Amino acid sequence: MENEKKMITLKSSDDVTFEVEEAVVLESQFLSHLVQDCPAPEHKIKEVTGKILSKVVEYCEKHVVVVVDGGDSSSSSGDDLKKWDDKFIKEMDLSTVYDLIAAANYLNIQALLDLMCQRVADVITACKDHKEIRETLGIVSDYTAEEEAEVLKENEWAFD
Amino acid sequence: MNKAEKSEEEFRSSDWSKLSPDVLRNIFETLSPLDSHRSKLVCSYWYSVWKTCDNLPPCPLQIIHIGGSPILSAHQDYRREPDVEDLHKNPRRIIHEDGGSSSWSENSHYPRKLAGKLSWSSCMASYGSWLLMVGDLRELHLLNLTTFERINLPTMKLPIPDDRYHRPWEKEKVSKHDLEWKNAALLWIDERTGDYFIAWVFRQSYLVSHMKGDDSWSNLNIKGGFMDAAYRNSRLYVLTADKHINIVDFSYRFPRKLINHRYPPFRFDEKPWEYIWKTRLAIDESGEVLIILSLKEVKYEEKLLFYVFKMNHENFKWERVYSIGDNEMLIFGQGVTVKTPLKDCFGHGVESGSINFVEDDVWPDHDDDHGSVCGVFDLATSKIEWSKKTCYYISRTQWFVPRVAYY
Repeated sequence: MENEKKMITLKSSDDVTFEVEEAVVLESQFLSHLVQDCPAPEHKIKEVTGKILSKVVEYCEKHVVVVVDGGDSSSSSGDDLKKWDDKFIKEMDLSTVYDLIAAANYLNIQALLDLMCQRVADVITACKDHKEIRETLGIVSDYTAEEEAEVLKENEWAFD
Repeated sequence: MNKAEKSEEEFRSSDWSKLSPDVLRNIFETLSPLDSHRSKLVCSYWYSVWKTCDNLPPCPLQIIHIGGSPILSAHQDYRREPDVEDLHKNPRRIIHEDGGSSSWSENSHYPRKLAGKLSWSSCMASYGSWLLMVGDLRELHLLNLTTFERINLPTMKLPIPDDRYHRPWEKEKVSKHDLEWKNAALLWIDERTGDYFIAWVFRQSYLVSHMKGDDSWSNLNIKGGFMDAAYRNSRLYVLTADKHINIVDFSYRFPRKLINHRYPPFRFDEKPWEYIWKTRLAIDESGEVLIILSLKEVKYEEKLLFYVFKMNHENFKWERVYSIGDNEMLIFGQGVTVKTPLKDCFGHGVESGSINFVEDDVWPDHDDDHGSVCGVFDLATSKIEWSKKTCYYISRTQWFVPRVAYY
């Protein structure tokens, strides 16, 4: 069985190639359809750069291995996987997160997308107010002062 | 190679304001209610996506004090956050969320963030998203929960009594205890203009007030012991212990006490089975005074009730009513009614003719174990719905709760 693992080559927009097992590719709904529909040995993914694709492959490889090995000691490997995920997102800068979101969205890898969204949510949570969120993510507000006051007014609390 | 570099460069320029709606929703739906409300302020696109989230936090939100008094006790109690064991010891103090939008319950970061702003302080009143805070050294300020904007207020000095027999009080300082008396303070703020008004009752016998632009507190000469106060449209309404209603007009440079022809003293003759717990004052949209009673009825069984009274200006009598203003609802203890939107744009079922209350507002010995800290009373049907929603922990005395009543 070991020898029969089917290998697939993925090529990024900037022509970096990655040779991965088919199981890894199946983590992505987009790629699994692609592989089924067109049985070529190499697939070019024009929308994703080598830098980002290497992250995607790293993530998918890790998750495939754990699921396969997981068999009997699934809980501990689940914990390990969570630790690995935490480390994976912590080390990432925000522009990589942004690109990975785009890639995960495009390649349709829900777990990776969720993980990246969680990272953004953590960033938002760490900001003390909406101005800091704008600053951190480099967003320019398009609200007029009145509009902002209007939205702010919606945030009303009652208190006792 | 050059080309590749360029395309990578283009990819790099991440524009967070243009994330796909699905991705943004995914992010918003994992945020705590406060952060969620905060993030919709970032830009109009985020706001338009925010509105389409599945688990929109209730809007408005509610903060609830649990316990008889918001007074913070000895400092060492506040040095650490309560652990799981604490929460088990006080099961009534937290409602665990089962299922639903479970990510809301993973709020461990956000209370800590707020705790820094609120620790060592007591919140004495609120209006909209603003809290009236008393600091550790009796310094006073207003704090906006969404933006964390802060407005410092002048220090309070005990008013010099006009009455010379009260001389001994003159040199006394206002203590933290004076400031932290429950229900002693009232806050009104216009979020648009930033105008604010604060009234404070001291030792049940002094009423002081402060408005935006004042550099100190002024003493209002109203006698008779204070029961409750409300502020709306530049007028302060004070219900005294003998149930008289005093009205002070703040639309001029100096506050002017109005001669009250419109409202005779409030009078309610309790039936033998009616036991009044609290009496509160509220002003509706049209400026009419409402008196709200929290009581229990003991007939075959005990029943918690709220009565609302309004002045019938034709026969000059207080009459019990079964609706509030024109599609309005109220929060017990908060002196103004809230207009309920005609169109329920957030799907929270904001209901007119309802009274939102917390555990503290109703008779404590009620034996119905509802396992909840807040509820909604429907005036038309006299039914209470206890809410079963999540509470959010801020500090030992303060809880942040989605306005469950709006579901």
